[in-house]
Amino acid sequence: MMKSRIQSMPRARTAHAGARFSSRRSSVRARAEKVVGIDLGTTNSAVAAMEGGKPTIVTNAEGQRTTPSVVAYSKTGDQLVGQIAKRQAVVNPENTFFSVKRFIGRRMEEVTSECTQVPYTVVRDANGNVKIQCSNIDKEFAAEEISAQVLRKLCEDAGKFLGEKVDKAVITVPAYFNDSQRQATKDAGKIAGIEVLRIINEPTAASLAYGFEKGSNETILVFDLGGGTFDVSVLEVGDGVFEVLSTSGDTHLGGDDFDKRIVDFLADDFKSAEGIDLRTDKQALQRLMEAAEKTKQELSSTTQSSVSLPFITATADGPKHIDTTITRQKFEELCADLIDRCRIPVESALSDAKLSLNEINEVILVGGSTRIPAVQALVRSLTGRDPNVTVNPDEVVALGAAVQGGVLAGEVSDIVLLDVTPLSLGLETLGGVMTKIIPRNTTLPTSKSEVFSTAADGQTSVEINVLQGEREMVTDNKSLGNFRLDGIPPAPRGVPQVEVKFDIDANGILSVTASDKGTGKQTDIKITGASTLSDNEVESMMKDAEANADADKEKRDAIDTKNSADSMLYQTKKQLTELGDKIPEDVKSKVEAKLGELEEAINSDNTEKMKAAQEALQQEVMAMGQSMYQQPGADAGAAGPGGPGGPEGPGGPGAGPSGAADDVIDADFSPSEDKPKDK
Amino acid sequence: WERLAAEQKDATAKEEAAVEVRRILATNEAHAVLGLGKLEAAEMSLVKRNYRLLARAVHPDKCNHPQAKEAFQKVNKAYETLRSQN
Repeated sequence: MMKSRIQSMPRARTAHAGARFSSRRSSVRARAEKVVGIDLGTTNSAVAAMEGGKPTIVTNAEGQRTTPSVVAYSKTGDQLVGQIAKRQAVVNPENTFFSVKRFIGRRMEEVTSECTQVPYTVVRDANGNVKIQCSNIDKEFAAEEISAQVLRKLCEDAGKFLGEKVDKAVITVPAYFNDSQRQATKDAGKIAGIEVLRIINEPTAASLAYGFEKGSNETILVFDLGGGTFDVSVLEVGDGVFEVLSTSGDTHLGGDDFDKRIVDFLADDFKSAEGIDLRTDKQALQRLMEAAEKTKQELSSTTQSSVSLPFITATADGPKHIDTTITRQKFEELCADLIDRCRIPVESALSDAKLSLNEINEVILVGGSTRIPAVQALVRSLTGRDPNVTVNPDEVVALGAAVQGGVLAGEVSDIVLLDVTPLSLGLETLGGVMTKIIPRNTTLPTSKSEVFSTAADGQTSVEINVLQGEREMVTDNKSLGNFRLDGIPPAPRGVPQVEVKFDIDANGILSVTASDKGTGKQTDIKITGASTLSDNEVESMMKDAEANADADKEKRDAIDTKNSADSMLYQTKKQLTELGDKIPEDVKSKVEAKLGELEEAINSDNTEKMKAAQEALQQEVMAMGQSMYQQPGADAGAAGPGGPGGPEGPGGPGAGPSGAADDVIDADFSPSEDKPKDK
Repeated sequence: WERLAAEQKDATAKEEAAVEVRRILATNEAHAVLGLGKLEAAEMSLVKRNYRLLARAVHPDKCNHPQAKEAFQKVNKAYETLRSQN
């Protein structure tokens, strides 16, 4: 009783201090849970949280500030996430999934070129959507599920770091992501058991982190070249309002593409020399890709980099190696067209914002790929000024997401973010043309409705095809889905009035309703042909993921228990032999009996039994320690009777002579704290 | 009492925002929505200042009034109108 009160004291004190602290800062509303900001990147992800009024990066379980967005399944079916998954990619290329962000919310026909660039197998499912095959556990995954596993790890690690459960998050996406890709990212959060409070755009998040403490009025251009996507946003910042004026981008351009150029160069070179295409060998391809990424990164700080890949393949003549040097100039030549492609979005973002270059006060570089000197040179030549390099391009997006999390949680009071929709939204009308309802760069949230009519006499239903994109013809734009409005009373064409309402929430996610103005009938929208998961699918994946997480936890528990049982068995046996006949015979036999039980439990691989046997053995070992001290004049205590891992050693007053052993100090610890209070 | 004071402050801010929302929804002309006179509305710096003030007050992220979204859209539209006029 006393003891439990002593243990709870320090905790109570901290809680009290915390309460005082938050009440003093009266504008801060007390919150139950932390909201984290997550930059879910193509290659790397980062997490940040508001700490003491400032956004701070949260390190992962491995102590890193970013986590590779990689998920793998080992031969034994174990799930690996992050650095540990990335490290084993070479030996397990078909079951190591990276860059899945390129597939999320996409239909198969949109990603034909991406499919061939990855060593794992990408297939189309019955709906024409992308599925990723995992041979080691014989399962097909949606990209959402892979991203969910990354998100789960990020949140679990963040929870450990922050010391509280993390299940609310703001997640960033490239500004140029369409509705399906946003929805799919939100679903990934749901599958991971996270409440996604908001999806925000990466460049906008970057501007939030940049302008959070600056408080000045300026117009900024964010140039965000990440692992797989490229975004440009122009913002006006002032009086706590972050207003996006325009946004533009390219969702198929990023660091991965630069790597690919180096891979192709090396592979082509090798092919002409040896006649072997390394790209058909998955393991060789994985090694090439890793080497390419490393070379690219090195070339940002040095002017040449050596590529050394011994034993990359073997022929009848013996093993073959790659040993070559790539200069920065060669790299820039290989990527010239990619770098040039960055030009267009910058120009269109500026013209959409109706601004000229000299009206931009600051250019901010975001994303790891902006470290490439040629990219920086392009920005300099495009904007005529030196870009701002005060922000960390890998971390700034997560920091900004944390700021927005603070805004939504009421922790940050004087900031509001006004974002826009990156792409125009509309629907298909007669002749296969797209009629735009909400133009691009409209401030969110927004809603707009328009009245349409039937195209034929006596038509009783209309099919509504929701589109997103900038092109005139339906086929050139992204179809977000179809739905039907039935039950229109038969009438000559052009007479019925069907009101279609588009509504985009602050997440940038669209909902569409249609109603017949004559009957007042509203459709129950059932979107088909969308490249996102249905609610049922998300639900079942969520359950699946939870079950897997539980199974993983059980597995880990089983392994931990077995290891500790093993070590206890060994330690106790060692002690028995060391102490020999100093132990009274009756005590010894009891200990030996429990030892036998534990050994049996270990051999039968039963976690519960192991735990029970461990506990029983612990008791006996303790009794053994006690009996040692009760022997008159015994100095045997020096051997450390506390036993392995015994939290409550006997320690009593007789422990005096026991000298050096660490165990004894450990064992003494809790009782000695106990004593003064007991009296 | 500190907490009480904070709650009171919160409640006042909420009430003020609600008043703004009602005022905006009951107003029609662009300059009036932004709380400006006709002549003031020709001054872009004033338009911008009031737009930002109102955006911070009635944006659905900052204000949980059921009609905050409508009010914000109206403010936004008024701003667009005045911006294109000036």
